[in-house]
Amino acid sequence: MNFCHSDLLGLRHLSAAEITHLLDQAKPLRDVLDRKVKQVPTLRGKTVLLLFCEPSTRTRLSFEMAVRTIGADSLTMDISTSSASKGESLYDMVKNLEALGVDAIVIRHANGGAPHFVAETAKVPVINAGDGYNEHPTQGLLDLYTMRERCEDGDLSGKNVLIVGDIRHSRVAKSNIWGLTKLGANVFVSGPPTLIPPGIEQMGAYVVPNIDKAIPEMDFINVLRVQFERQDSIYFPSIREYRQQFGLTEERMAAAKPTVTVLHPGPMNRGIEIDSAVADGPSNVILDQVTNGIAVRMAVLYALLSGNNGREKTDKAEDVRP
Amino acid sequence: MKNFVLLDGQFVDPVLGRCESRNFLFTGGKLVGMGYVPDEDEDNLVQIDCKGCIIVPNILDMWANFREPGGEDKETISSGSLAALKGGVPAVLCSPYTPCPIDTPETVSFFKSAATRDSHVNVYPAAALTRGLKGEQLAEVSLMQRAGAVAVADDAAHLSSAVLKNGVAYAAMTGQVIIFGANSRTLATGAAMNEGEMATILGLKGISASDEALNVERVLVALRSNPGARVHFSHVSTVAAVDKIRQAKAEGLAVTCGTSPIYFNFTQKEVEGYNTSAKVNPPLRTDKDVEGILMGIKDGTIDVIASHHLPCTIDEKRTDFQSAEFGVTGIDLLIPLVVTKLIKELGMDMPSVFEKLSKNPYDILGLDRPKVSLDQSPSFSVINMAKSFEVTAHTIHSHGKHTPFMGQALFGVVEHTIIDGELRYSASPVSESVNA
Repeated sequence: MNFCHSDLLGLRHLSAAEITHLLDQAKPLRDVLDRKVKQVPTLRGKTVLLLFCEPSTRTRLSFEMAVRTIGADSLTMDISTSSASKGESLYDMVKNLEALGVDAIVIRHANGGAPHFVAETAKVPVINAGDGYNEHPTQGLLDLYTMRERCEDGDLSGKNVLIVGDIRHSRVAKSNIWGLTKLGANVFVSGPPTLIPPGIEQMGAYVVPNIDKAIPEMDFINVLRVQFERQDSIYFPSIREYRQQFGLTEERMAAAKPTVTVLHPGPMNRGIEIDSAVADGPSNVILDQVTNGIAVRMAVLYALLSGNNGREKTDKAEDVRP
Repeated sequence: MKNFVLLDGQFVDPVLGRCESRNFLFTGGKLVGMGYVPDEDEDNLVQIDCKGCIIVPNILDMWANFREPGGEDKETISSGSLAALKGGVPAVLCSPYTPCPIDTPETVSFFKSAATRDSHVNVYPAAALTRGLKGEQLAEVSLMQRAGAVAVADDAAHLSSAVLKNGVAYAAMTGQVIIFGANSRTLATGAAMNEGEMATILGLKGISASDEALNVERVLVALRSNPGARVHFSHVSTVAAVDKIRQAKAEGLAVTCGTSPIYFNFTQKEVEGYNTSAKVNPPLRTDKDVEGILMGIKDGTIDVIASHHLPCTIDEKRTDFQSAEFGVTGIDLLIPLVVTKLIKELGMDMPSVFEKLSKNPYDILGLDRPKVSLDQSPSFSVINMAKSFEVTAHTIHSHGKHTPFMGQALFGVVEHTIIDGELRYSASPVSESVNA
């Protein structure tokens, strides 16, 4: 089973087989990161543009590492110094970048759906590095990769996964829900009711109002960051109340299975959504996630840019408008 | 203009609520014969075969945005009215939501003189209830009425209770209908589509459906304390708003409302794939809302079907969904959409459907409706019920080319538009049939 899309815009439109294919491809690439010389020449001569229209440090660095490790070159476009501030439309920006001759565009954007528009506009592959409240597919993939590492035979079917926090504004949660449900896991979401978006059940997730009832059953707990920059104080009254209701505290975790695995997409607010004792405890895989992120991003670049897997952008219309 | 006769068309009479086969003879801009049968080779008479067509009198699109003054890149009075003419719409109420809002007697006068110069159809301006449509100070509604405005309009959502109450009381003095939009303000919030599972799935910020009902309710409260006022909601999109208005009518309040074909044809699913041609405010809603709108049309709660024509430039739509402008073109397609959905598909009664595009708008605006009787100059739209066409950029004559109906096959081809007794538009040349 090959990956048969010309872009990676989200996990929503991927099949379980395609997701598994990407994760399997990531495995040998992950091994490269343990070598002394952390580089393979696979994508030599390719230039990947990192178009970051919203602040990002870790995703950008992870993509830069991925591009470098797989032998390609990266160009980073920082929007604050770009022509966007001169009033250039996204359409013109993409057309110009394409004319520069880049081979792929990785885009982070504050608006959900912006990468889809870029993918429609550009002839080169487009990778969504997080768009608004929509998706963050490479984060979803690295979470899946990390969870699979903790399962026998890498099989996630029947596993219980709890995602805690601001589901409404979380593209990480969205990509996790799409990916996990496709791979057969049971996905539960929990958070203040104001931060559970309407219709989330339609995506296949179960809403759990009280996380203490859910924790003992869980195989994985993915803790989302409390996004201070997105809060305008209408969603929950205070940090301490949030912590008391939804924080992954040491006491709360005492009820969990001994085999439970805790994930966090970072950056963490220690003492708020997660206690240090949990974040640094034996069940955490938070730093594995960071390293695995490079590997899955390499796998995505490989799937979209390598000669034998490369697709003409003719199936585009189907790709973004199923 | 030559004399002309419309032969063998089916006349839809929304006033008497019936359809009948009728010939209409026009001479010098006046209706001079009903039931007239010309000789085959009668001189100096254009004989127009209307077999298979319906003839609807005095259509008025009660909510369209021609974007002039200030938004001429999107639409002008000239381009918008040409689209109306070719769409079989002889009269249009233009909203004051122009980039330079129509909020002073001077802008009303400007609009009137620009319309006299450029318009292909009869256009009537609605004026802003508050200055700059900002919801703070009352605009000069009486002076604007003298200058030619036929209604006042504003968004209910941004009016404080005090401005709303005073605005309704003050505008009532002029006898004009007060037109309210019940849609949410989206500028500050970045909301882009209906709140619900589609917005969640697409990661877009939602516009709550309950906002519309709340805005309707606020206006109704103001109306109850001003029994002399008349209120019209320009476009409702939710079952909740329709229910509220139904109750208010039962209560005896002077309230009417309109909707637009997009709200009984499409749901939020249309946004899938981040389709900017489906970005409208109020947003496309759910199946339940579409049912509610159709029920409102059937039971008469919804009085008016208007185009809600809001053309955008290519650049405004050729961007990501959230950055794209709200609005779609609609005046070209108003009649075909009503014919295709309500008459062909749902089999609704023609006189009661077209009442919502002709008699009711005139009555609500308090305008004199041209009579369909001898020596009068009515406007007629001749609509081919059997012929269909595909919606393409070429069949849309507005500057705005964005519509979720693009590519669809629609019935109801507009063959002729007669305005004030004169044949102003024919889809194909009629001169060959002249026996001179």
